[in-house]
Amino acid sequence: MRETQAITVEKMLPYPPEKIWRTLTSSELIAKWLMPNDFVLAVGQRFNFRTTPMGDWDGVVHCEVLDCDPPKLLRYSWKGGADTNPAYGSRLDTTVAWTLTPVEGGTHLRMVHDGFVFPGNQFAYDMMSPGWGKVMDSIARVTGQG
Amino acid sequence: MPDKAAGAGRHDVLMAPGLHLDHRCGRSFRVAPKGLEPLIDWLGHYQTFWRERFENLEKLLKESE
Repeated sequence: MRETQAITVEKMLPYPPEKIWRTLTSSELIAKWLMPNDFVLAVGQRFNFRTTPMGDWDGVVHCEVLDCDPPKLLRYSWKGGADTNPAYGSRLDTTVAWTLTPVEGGTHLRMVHDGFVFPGNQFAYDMMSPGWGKVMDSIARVTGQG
Repeated sequence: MPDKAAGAGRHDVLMAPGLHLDHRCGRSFRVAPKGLEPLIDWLGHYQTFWRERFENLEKLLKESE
């Protein structure tokens, strides 16, 4: 049981694909709208985004360029989190894909952030298991009162 | 008080396929509210995150016209 979920954001932008491609692939420009990074445009290239640490996670998003077809497709892995974090900040192994399609008057930009899974990891499940007894007690109490 | 056998039964339910679907129907709140957090929290976080970043991106594109 490992079903993945994705976030998709789509937008029609009144600019040519080449202009949008530059903002998606220039480290300096990415830093202005996304996050501090050391992005380099080359398949197989590893790079990081830096964000706020959370629990045992240092806040570093580890990425690798997976696909690159200028100015149409850019896809990179997006990994972070820590097994010991239970919720936001738990282990994350996802991909982000950018697709640029020229349309009349501009570009249709589509971002798909894919690979969110449940359970996030076995540790989270194991950690929560002792809590079930309490949940069951509560249910028993509520049921008993009913 | 539930006995241990009942507790183990609940774990089977937790691992059963389709649990998250039950949750979306609002029926499994008593089964796995915490266990679902890794998915919901990352998803919730990035839904907001990407919406904001798209706004930033549009602003940047507009400024560099």
